[in-house]
Amino acid sequence: MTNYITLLKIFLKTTEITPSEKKRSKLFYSLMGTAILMLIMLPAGALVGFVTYALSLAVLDAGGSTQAANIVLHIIAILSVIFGFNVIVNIFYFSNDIENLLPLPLKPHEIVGAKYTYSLLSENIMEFILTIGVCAGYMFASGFSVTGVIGSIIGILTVPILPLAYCGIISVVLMFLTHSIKNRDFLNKVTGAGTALLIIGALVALVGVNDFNAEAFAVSVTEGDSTFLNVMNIIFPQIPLLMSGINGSIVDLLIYLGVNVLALAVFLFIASKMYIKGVSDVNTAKTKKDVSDTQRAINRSKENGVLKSYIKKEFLILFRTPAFFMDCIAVNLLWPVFFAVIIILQGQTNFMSGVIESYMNGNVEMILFVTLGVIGISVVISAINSIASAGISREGRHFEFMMYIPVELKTQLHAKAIVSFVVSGSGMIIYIIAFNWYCLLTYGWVDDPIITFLMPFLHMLIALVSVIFASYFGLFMDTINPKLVWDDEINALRGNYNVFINTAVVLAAVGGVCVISLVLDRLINSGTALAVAILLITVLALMGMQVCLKKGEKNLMSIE
Amino acid sequence: MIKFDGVTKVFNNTVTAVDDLSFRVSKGEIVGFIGPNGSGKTTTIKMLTGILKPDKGEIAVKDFDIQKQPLEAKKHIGYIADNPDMFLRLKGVEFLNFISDIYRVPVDVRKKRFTAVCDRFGLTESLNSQMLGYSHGMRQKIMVAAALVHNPDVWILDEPLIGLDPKSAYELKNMMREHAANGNCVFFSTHVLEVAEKLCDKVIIINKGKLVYSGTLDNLEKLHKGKTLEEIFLELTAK
Repeated sequence: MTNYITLLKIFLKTTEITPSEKKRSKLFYSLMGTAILMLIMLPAGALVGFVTYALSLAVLDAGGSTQAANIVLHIIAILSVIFGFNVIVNIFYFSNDIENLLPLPLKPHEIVGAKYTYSLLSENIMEFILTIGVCAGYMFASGFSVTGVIGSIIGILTVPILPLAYCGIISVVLMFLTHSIKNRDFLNKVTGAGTALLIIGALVALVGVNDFNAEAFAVSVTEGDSTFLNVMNIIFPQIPLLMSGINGSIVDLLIYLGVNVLALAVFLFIASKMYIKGVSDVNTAKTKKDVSDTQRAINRSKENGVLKSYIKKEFLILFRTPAFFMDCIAVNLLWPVFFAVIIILQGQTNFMSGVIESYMNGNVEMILFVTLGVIGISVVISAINSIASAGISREGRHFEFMMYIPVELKTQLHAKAIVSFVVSGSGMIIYIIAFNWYCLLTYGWVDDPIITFLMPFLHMLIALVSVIFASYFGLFMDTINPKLVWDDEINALRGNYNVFINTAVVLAAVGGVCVISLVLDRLINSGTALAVAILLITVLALMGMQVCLKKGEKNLMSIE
Repeated sequence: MIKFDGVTKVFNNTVTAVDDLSFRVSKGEIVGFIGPNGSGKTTTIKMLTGILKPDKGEIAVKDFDIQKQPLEAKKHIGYIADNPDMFLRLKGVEFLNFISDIYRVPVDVRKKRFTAVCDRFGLTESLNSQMLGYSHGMRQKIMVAAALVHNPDVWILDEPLIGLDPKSAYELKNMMREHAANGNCVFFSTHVLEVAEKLCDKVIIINKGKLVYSGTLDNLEKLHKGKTLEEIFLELTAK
């Protein structure tokens, strides 16, 4: 137990700000922490709470109880498994500390237990917030009680235990069974491909759902006809137990705690038997050698410009490093799932159909709202994928490379921003095409070329300008205080405050654009507000570029 | 080729890592840079390569001031850092092409150099796989290949022999000799006095950031008659 606690303390120290990173004042971190809480976490928690509240009302009206909250918690648990698996595999098997830990007289379950707890504490802040949203949403719909509040507090603190224990069990067993595969990249690819397939599968399943209807949904889950809920209740049995506990059953709450303890015990038992074998093989694994191709590869060498070559290097590393691929590339695939959920939940008779009808009729105010939406989504997507806002941090220990090569720092910053621009920008173009296609499918063709041709084109341009702002500004934020000391690649992103700070700052900036435009919309007219919004985001993009290239360069040169 | 004049570097306004250090490295020379742990060797090399800014003094490579004309100066440097774990997700050949693009090495020239260094270091089997699967020694060899791909006038190596097997270490020392013999210069830090003794035309010894000796090893031994190189080094760096 002492070893476990000592290890855990050391792991948690790695997420703290190092003395060399303490350039910013405590006040700055306090302000940014508040901004992150207010602009990112609370809105997300409130959104989840509202969805839970609305669905719970419908379910309670239909004679059901906690089914709606169960479904929302199941979705959170699924996301937790999808993103937690990659984190667990990296922290358990591919972090740099493994080679130093293995020779120490530590039992496998002590290492795995400490790493598991570290992952649980450091990776699940968002999940805690979302769970608060679910519990609050449910209790607003069903009524508050003492047992409900106690159950909620227990649930908020413990809900991620089982999903992460699943990740731990799967990763330990997978690494044990595949120990004969002496190619760790194969395992990384399998992990990445599996996760991407899960996300795409979720999207395909959602696209197959037509005309979501709250009443039908409520009747279906109340009568036990929801396959999703029934299957998920088996996979995550602790969730219906928790919600039943919140609903007043102390026995179920105790069983809930027992299920979590059992899951941990099973996980640690399996880890104690299988971890060392799997991790030892990872450390001896070699990537495949390809003798015959070497000369051909040399002969295929061709000369590229510095910028092109640098961009290519950035892309190769982003796509080939599983942690970067998951957090920077695959995360972009989640947005269509998110949008699909919104569209499906609204149905054709609700909010979205009203928006689309008004937009397709050429209502200037609705065009303004959609444009502001495009700006907001573009900036959020670029900030959340952290390609730019961790662009310098990802260099880690070889940040010095940037300094000693004969390439201007401006060129290197451009290359990193362009990578973010390409990934986020291409995503946005696809989403805008999909949105317009959806509008045409649901509303039908309109003969107004402004709506059918000009607006999609203009929205693409505005999206790209917004992405430029978020990319260059995000990169600039990372030049101020990059996190260059990390033990594993996942830590460069997840343990990086710059990503959150950048998201908060760019959201605040875009929030400003929206507020100004909406005020102008009320005071003058929608057309003027639209023009000002476009002008403001363009000015922000130009300023972002200037700040990144001038001040960002100076910031990099001052890093020691 | 290298001019280091009165250079001082202070970290956090408290720790003087390099203190008024001056030395020269000329064409055709192999210079060993020696000092105990924490003596300021790596800080010196980082200032020489443009990674760190000196607080005082001037540094020039091939007459290009590293502060005022950094890109010109850096074009003439081939640098091998003390840690070869760099861009491990790239294949060896991709890394070499990336470096060649940065130094604008023509494609026909780079192909010949890749092939030559592969043959010399036995990298032929591995060049088309990701460096993640390479041993420490293999990664070090790739770094050597990358540093030489543009045939730099000034070759700077930070502890280059660590992790190399005897054959590769022998090859690397030969390459250093050949590089200097071709009219370039080699400046490397090391803890291994025997390597300096066998390889260097000149040694520079520093302790606590200050120069304690600069000259040939023969002259150093003459100044301290009857003592082994190890004893002389310990005496010079004892204070």
